[in-house]
Amino acid sequence: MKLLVVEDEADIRRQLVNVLDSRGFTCESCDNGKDAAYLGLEYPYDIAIVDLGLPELSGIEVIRRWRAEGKVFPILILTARGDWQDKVEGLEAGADDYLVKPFHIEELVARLNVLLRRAAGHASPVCRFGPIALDTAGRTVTVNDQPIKLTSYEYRTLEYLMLNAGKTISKAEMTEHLYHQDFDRDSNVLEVFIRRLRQKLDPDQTLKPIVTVRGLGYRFDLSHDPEP
Amino acid sequence: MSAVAHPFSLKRRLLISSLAALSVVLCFAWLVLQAAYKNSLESAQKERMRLQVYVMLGAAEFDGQYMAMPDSLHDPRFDQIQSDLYGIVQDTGGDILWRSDSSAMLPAEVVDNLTMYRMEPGSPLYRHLWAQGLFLYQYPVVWETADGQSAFLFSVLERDKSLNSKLATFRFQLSGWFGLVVCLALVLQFMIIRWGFQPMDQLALDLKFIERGDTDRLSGQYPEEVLPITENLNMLIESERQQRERYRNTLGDLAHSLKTPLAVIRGAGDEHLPLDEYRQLVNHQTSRMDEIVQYQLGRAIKSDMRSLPKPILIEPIVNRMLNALDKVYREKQIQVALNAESAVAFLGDERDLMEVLGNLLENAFKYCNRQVGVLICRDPVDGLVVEIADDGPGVSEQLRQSILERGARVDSSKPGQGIGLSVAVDILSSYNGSLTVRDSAELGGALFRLTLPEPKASRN
Repeated sequence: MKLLVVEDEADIRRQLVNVLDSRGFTCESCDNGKDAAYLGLEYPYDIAIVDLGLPELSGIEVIRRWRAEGKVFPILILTARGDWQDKVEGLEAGADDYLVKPFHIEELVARLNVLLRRAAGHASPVCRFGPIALDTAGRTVTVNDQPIKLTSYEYRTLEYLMLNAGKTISKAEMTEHLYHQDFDRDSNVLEVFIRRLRQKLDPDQTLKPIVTVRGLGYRFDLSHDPEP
Repeated sequence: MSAVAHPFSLKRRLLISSLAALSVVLCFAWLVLQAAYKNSLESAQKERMRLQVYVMLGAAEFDGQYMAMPDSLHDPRFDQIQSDLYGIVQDTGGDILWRSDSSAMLPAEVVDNLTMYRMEPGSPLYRHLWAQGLFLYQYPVVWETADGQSAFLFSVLERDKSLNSKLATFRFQLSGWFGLVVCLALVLQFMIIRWGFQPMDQLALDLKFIERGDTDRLSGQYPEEVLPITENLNMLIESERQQRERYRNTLGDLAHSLKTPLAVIRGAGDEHLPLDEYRQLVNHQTSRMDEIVQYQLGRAIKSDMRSLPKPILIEPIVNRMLNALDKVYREKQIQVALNAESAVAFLGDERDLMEVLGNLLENAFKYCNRQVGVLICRDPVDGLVVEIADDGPGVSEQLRQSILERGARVDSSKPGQGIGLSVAVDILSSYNGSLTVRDSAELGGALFRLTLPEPKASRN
């Protein structure tokens, strides 16, 4: 999941990026409102964390600009003062949730997952498609209630596909959302991940949950008739 | 640095404006009075000259060829050369039939021009000949003589210097009196202003005493016009004093209560604990420190604007907060029933109101199952009432007292206990309000009831 961290405090920004990277997010960051407004409008983020007290352009103004331009990705605001006026103004501007500094990283990750799930239209932390269940809170995957062991990249790929189930995702989009900029886009790593996922989820090739749409990309889809 | 231009003082403004108003009024009065005096002088002059003409008419005798006058007329000035009174009788052709001895020195052009005005017999003419400095009164008559009718023009002329000198004297005296009136009025005005502004001087003096620290409130007796200012100033001073006190206490409390977790962390460093245990301990103590900071911050930044409050409608604020919280707790699909008297207003700072309502509403959203009820109304006994109920597990009897304890020391509270309610209670008590908790009869969960006394009717 591609995440934008907008925070002017260098230490907190670094900590957030490091921790969230290790939790499977693909993080980009900036330290002022002006850059944040630009990045949010120009790049396809899945979620953003915005500090309210930003230089050049306030966090609330950044959120307003994104929403005015039709950007719908979930936004979590960070506030240091924690007073209700800030929270309400942030939510009214278009944010979806708030967190008061300092916070536990676990709480932040949980809130981010809730927002991502909500954006994908799932109320529960567990997204279930047929026998395949993805638990975004526990970051686990089960098939017929049997846990499947996935690497971090494999999990990210499957999570993105399942949260966008039914939609065809191009390789470029998936690379953009799941991997860092230094990721080798020309390599066939993505194909490798998809192949491994298919083997792990569906060793008998009866479900065929990940469909290759020729020339366009991949789609998570269990509505088609699996081959006998 | 540029000099700051101070506006005129109130006293100076009043004195200058009084002086200006008085000058305008007196100038006008001066003009009117001297014009009236001049008119009366000229009327008297005209009347006198009319009488002189009548005397001449009565004394004149015409024998058909010559006009005869007695040697001495009623007024001796007719006979004195270089006197300022002259008499002349002419026929219709302008030929002089008689002239007084005094007119010998009269300029010829004046005499020649006497018949230039066309007049009807019996209609007198009175003029001021400015250029010559003379008043002229003429009376044309037609007499029956043995040869028929003869027309004559009787003219009396008098120098205007006597009238001018009387007028100048009058103007001089009038100016003197008016000057005296201005001085007297200014002295009176000055005394009135001094007396009228005495309360303001007293106020300035009292404020100086407060600055010097001799007293801590404006204690003088003030008239009713100044009373609202002094009362509000007293409230501001008191509020500022309380605020200072609160900052001092907060700083003291903050420093004191941070010492414990700091000591624990420092001690743990010397204990050589396993990393996991150490990490957990630091985590726990920093959470505790964060709660302390949040709580004391909440108490310290609480508004001090209660002295000059403005009414804030509660319903729109509650609606904003409900919309915001609905967004955050969307998954729970909470049903909110808002029952509000729309005109109910809170007399205080909007931030304080949002802080109290935010903490209570967030608790309701957090602990409810599906339902939250909000009631906003005015009660004759309790004043303003806001009730927030939910269908959650409620608050146990044992907890009720402790969660609503005012100024509860957070450093002694259990981990995880929120500070929102303590801050809400603290804010409410600074407005003399109260917060109670009981079971909600309708929803089954907790019901928080906050009350705020209605402000007294303001002084007229």
